[in-house]
Amino acid sequence: MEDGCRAVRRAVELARIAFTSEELERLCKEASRIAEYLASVGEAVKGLDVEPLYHVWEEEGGLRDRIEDRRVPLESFLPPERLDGEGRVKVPWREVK
Amino acid sequence: MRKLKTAYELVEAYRNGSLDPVEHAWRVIEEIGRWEGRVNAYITLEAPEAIIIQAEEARERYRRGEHRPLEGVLVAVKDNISTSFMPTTAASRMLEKYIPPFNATVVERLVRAGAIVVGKTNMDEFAMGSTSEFSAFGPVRNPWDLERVPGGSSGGSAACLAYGGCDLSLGSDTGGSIRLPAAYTATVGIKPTYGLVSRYGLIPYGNSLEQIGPMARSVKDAALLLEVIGGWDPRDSTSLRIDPPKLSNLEPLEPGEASLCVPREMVEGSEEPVAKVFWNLMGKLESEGFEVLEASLPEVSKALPAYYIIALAEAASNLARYDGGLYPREDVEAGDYWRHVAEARARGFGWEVKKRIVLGSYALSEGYRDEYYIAATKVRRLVRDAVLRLARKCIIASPAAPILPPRLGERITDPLLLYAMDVYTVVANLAGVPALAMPAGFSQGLPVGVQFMAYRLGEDLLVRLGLTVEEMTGLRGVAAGEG
Amino acid sequence: MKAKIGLEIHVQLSEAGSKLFCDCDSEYRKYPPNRNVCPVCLGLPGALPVPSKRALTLALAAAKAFNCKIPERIVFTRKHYFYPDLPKNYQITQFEKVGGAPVCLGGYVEFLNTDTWEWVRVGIRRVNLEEDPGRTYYEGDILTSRYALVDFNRSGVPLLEIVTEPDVRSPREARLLVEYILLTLEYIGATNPRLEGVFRVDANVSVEGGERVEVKNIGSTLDVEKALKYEIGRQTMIVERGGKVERETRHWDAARGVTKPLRYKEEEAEYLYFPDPDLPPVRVTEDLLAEASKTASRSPKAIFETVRKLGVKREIAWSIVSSPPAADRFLEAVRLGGDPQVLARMVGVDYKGELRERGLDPNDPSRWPPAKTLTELAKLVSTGEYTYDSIKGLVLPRLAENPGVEVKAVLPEKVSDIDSLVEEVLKREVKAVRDYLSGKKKALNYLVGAVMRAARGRALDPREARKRLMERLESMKEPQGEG
Ligand SMILES: [Zn+2]
Repeated sequence: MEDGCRAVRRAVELARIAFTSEELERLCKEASRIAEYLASVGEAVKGLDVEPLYHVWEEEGGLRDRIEDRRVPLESFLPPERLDGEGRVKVPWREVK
Repeated sequence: MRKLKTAYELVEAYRNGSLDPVEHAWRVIEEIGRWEGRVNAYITLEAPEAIIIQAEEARERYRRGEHRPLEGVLVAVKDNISTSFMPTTAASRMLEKYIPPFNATVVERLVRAGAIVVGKTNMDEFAMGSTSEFSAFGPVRNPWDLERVPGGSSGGSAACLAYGGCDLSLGSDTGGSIRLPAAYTATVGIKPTYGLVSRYGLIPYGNSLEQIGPMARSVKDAALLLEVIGGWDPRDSTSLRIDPPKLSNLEPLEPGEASLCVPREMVEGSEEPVAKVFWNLMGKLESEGFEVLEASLPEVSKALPAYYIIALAEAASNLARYDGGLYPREDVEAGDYWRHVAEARARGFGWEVKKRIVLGSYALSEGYRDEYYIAATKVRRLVRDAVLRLARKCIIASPAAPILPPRLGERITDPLLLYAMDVYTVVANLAGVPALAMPAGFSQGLPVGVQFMAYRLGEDLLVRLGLTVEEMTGLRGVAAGEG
Repeated sequence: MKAKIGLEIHVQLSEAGSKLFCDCDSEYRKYPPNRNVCPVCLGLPGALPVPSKRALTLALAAAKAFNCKIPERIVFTRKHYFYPDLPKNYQITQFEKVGGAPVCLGGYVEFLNTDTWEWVRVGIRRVNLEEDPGRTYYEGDILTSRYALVDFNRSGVPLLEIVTEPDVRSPREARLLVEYILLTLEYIGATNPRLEGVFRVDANVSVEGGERVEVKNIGSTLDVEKALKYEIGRQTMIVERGGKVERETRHWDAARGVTKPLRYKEEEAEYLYFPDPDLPPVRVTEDLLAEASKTASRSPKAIFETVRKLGVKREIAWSIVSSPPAADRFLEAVRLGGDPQVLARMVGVDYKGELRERGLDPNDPSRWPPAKTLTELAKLVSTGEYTYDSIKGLVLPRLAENPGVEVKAVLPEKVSDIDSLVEEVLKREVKAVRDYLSGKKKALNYLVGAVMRAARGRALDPREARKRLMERLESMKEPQGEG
């Protein structure tokens, strides 16, 4: 379980979600238990010669020559205060004291 | 129990002038007023005046003989399907204020067919759930028993049908999210063949598994809606290059035209009342002359964990974009980028979503990818091949869910019990094949649903069998409440 | 000290017309911020990517040009990392593992080292096609800026990542290699290397006894050489002083001409790769390959060899080849019957020089006259009607000003009265005549110059002027001899 928790913590870092320490404890418990259950698929295919299936019909995708242009202004879904004077998106970047 | 007009009957009545679309629209608005406070099927509702204006336009079109296939029919759309004229939240705080600048392809097709969009239905956040309790806007309740869940994640789309708050609805089905709610509310839902319906505009959960599908109070209605939304979309690379299916004028299936089979693994775990209703229906079919065979699909035993791994991995990826940038949150202060991202995601997502993102990242991370994600895709091949093999011989029948609709809070405390609700439905998503869920009967006043699965693009076969079953059960156009 | 250098060259397919997965413009520079964006390249929920045929054909043409092994099917993968300019927080790329398949699985390129005139072979490890992220600006310094200001106009532009083996022997060769690769892509019609920010180079460099250091963010071919020289010098110094070169990522500061360690935390090196479920594999069909081969048929090497076979000196031949429009005009003009030697000088040396002198881009096709104009001029020289110098001095500058103009409109008037010019000069330049006659042969050159000046821009063959002058001067001597 210790090990399971370490793996969950690593996944939390990758997921980039903040958790309080109590939440993290609860998450570790729940996620480790689920992960343990899900691990049964690894057992199921061990030693079997099976190719992964990523796209269910294994058909080739098409290429497009043109597709109708659907340009949209950001203001159509983003609050105006999130744009700077030139129309660029303001994303919080550095703490300014 | 009461009977309401099906969408097909509505269109008939509009056409022959026995019913006025405006009058009907008022009736539905009244039902919503009566039920919505208790059921919570909708996240966003169109203003009554706006609905009425559109109903008046429909009336005009009928008068002029220019009506389209769904003219004046009130359709509810699950809130993970993009609409440019209404917020689309996927039941998440993260998208509380998001109004997409475009319509999903299915919405474009609905509107072009003359449908009136009544509102956006409540659901599990980002479609992650099987009970419709994990919504940032409160749980949906089952109109048949308000203490119980309507199933999920398309619970709102099923519940509004069950109380008469819409004529048709759209759901999405990643692992059973149309069929479980259909089964729990005595409505009809189809999970189409993967690629039959465009996913353009569907807020993704498990892209390789999910389809938008029709929900209705009758098989014919579901077929009619699927006909409108189906067919190739150049904006979705995974959509199949086929014309919209012809489904709304099919005849019921006759014995001898196809046989049914029941895989042992897809019924033996069911609780007693469910199994009883299910076998009862199979017995009726047999007595009508249908061949019902026993079968075995041992691959199904690993379908559930394989399904969850694939769905969670894809979800972790799909949900990476919600970082407080293009979908800003006012409750998170500006500051360091990385902290801001983690904080925005902490506040914007609910617990279940966060847990699934973490698990999905886990399944894809180095050292675990092979035994989780890659192994799951291999199991998927085994399941698909087995299902396709069996479906060539017979229509695969099973209960839609192993249990009756649970009470609120009953299942969500234990994630593994929650996941187990999907055990019969995920098979169709892994295999890509179409599946129909419809009422089989009632037990203790609660609906029990049956599921039929066919081969790839066998929607016509499912619809025909559905018509046959509907005639046998008489459960067409049923709704909760006193008639 | 000997160094091992491997390069990662990112080149935008600026001439692809559209972005990789949507129809926004691949040439984004002309738009105000965030005006070349759509739901797909903004990564809005539910928007789906559809690969562009043109971008894929260009990428395959590049793979052909680099002698690559091309897979039967191309598979796009998702690469996850969080950054403000990456709207989905994953980039669609082609990772060669976990089910992915890039456009090139390995090949080589032979570039011309124009210092030694040897063809040098460098292995290509892989080439993959991916989305470019948006552009981030900062208020002042990256370390203190309150906001990252993001412009998504570039987001989704097709980007080719070309990864070489660590075969490159010197900074100079690294530069020549990059120039050659860019030229190859220019011939294919994939990119315009002169656009701002159209390519960036990352270099991996190690000296004997040290770890590999990655130098990022090199934006010009000149800087490739400078950055590598600097970095090799820095590493050599460490090793010579008995220190250890640690494995790290550094950043090229072009303004200061130094490499610096990154001042901010590097991304985590775990990218959670998996095949993009929204993009089914693309089969590399015969048609697609044939089109790619056709597109790739014009390689700098092949054209250089063709030009050389016409007897053109290698320096001039390379000058022609290094400007694709020059090579096109040259070969066409030869085909139309122009003399290759005359044309080579005209195209590869003097016209190109004329453009350069005016600060005009010799690789811009619109700066070049049609081939038939060049053939006409070459013929005038070959037939002796005009001297090369009068074409060079009097015609080429006017063509450079207006490449579309007719030859006869810029052809200088020819001097028809040489004798009277000669007489005029002899009369005026009494001293020079006297000097010549007294045996100072140099005075003749002065007199030829005076006659040429007297022609005032009209065409006059200086050899003809010299001959006439000599005749007259000799005739002036004779009477004296008699007397
Ligand atoms: Zn775009």
